[in-house]
Amino acid sequence: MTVRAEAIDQLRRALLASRNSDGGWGYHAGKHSRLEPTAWALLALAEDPAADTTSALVEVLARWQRPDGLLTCVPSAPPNLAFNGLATIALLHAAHAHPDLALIDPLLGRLLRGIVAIKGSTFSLAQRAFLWLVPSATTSQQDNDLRGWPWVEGTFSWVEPTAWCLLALKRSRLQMAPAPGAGRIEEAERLLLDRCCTGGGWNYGNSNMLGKQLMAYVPTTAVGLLAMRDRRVTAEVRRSVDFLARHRTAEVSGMALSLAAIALGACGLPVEDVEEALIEDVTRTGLPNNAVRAMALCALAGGSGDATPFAV
Amino acid sequence: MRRRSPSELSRRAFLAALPAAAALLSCRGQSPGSPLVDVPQTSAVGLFAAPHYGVDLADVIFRGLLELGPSVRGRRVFLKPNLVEYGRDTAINTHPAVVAGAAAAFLRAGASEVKVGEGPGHRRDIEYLLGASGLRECLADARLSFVDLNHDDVHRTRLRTRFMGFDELLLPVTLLQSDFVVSLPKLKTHHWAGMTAGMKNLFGVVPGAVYGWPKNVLHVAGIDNAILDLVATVRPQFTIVDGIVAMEGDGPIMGRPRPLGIVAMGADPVAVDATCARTIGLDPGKIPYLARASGVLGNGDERRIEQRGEKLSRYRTRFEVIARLNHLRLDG
Repeated sequence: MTVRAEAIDQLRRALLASRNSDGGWGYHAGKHSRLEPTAWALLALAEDPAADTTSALVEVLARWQRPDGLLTCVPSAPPNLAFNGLATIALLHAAHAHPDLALIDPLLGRLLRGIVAIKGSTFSLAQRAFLWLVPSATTSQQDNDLRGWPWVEGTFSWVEPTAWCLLALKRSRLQMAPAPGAGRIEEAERLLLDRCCTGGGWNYGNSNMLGKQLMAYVPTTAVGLLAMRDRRVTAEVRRSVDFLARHRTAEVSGMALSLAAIALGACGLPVEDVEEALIEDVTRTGLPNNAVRAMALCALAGGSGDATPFAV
Repeated sequence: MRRRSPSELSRRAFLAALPAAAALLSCRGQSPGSPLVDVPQTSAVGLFAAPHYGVDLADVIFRGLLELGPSVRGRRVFLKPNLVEYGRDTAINTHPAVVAGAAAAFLRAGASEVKVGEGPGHRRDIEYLLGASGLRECLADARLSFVDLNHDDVHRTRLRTRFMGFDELLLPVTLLQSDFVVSLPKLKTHHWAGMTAGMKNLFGVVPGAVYGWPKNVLHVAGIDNAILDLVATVRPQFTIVDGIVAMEGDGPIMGRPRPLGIVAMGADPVAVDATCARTIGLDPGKIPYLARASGVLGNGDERRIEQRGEKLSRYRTRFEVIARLNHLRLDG
């Protein structure tokens, strides 16, 4: 068995062993099932013929669906839009791999409608009036009228939830007709282009603050590129590809290396050294966080280009 | 000197009144007034000399605990350091040596258990942060485990105050299961809140996996309101501030390291933060969350703070702040 195959086997066995009795995954073994690790597990295991988990996983997600279509795994918690976008992509992937699963389509339809209905906040009239009166109070040079998705409803748009929901809408166009939310795609793309850092890549939200340029990060840039890689005609996206290619192994963690490998692979760029660093990290730490464990499995065992769950 | 026109004066007066008006408007659910907790007549705060991170910090903190802290014998202690972002040669996070020193001090004082946990509000990649900051290695050496509060199980918790206008928050189970919470922050200027020390540090207990990053819910509800609700609800029993190398300027991330050589400690989080503010040349009466907390959640008034350890005057200095925070200065 090669080192890579051993790492894949280790991740797969550890992921399956830490599954909860309700069918979902917690962030860590012994913890309650949560949306993010469960969605990543669905992405990692949907095409695994031996895992036989897809049907049960879809049922878990269906149990978490609220009347407005959004998923929340903790009663009384606000739905997390980044993880709802991710879960949509996982369900689209599962539907593609298992077209016979009847439960997925209605679940997906409601979920997409729920996502399309939520927008990030903009400044209130009072805040706009204040900034008009006191221009020096402006903290970021950016277009604050653009609206993507917030982490939770009632807050501002951020890069990760916007990128995951944008990717979910783009991916849904490949499998659903008519795909919902076409009108949101263009504005979300403009927001991500507007928030792109000077040197390429993305911070968490703004690209500048109080007159200073903010630094881009590997995980946020990878997620941004997954959503924007079909817009490589723009200078911002090209700069972001360059940023990620340059910094692909700079942040040593399961999350950063996995997302970098997935995003660069989706862009058709070589990822051998990223995968090597990831395998080393898997061997050293075992990646105790189930969401990261499943991310790594997607990175090492998933396909590349348009053969991945992240095809747009 | 040029004389100002009446219109300039009125604009200036209008702008000067804006922060007060904004603070008033931002008190969504509750206005501070009478004490919300048992505020003692006086609160003791200790400043302990620690010129660099190579000193025996376990001893420094143990001395502080003996002099200022309630007994921790048999108690399950939770240490909540500041772990936000990593940058080489910066002073963003509580230094790992202070975390290890605090853990050793509490165990020596008889704590039955010490856990360390944080939910970074900026970076969500905890594995990267723990490795890059050196905290993972330090915790491993001390045989301490780390709890990622962003991804812990959560429990619905009723807030003891309603400054944000919320009745409850979902908070990490590990934090709630401990019976002695210690806020263990880095002392920094903060471009929104003015200063971050023991009170603002509690933003890190709000789980990102529920509320997102950078916990924007708390910003939208008002940073000052959120600080007050978190302090009132979590009630840290002890605060240990890493002011050995602090941060000035554009904190909490992009400021400059500023060696100060102190560890500030005390059981009253308001008194500890007010003392830290005075030490770095800021007026706690002008920092909105401290001004509102004073007399309500603890003692901020200098006359009600009993100074222990080193004299404040020995360390009093003037930190640089960004221009928009100049009005917070003691001499401003």
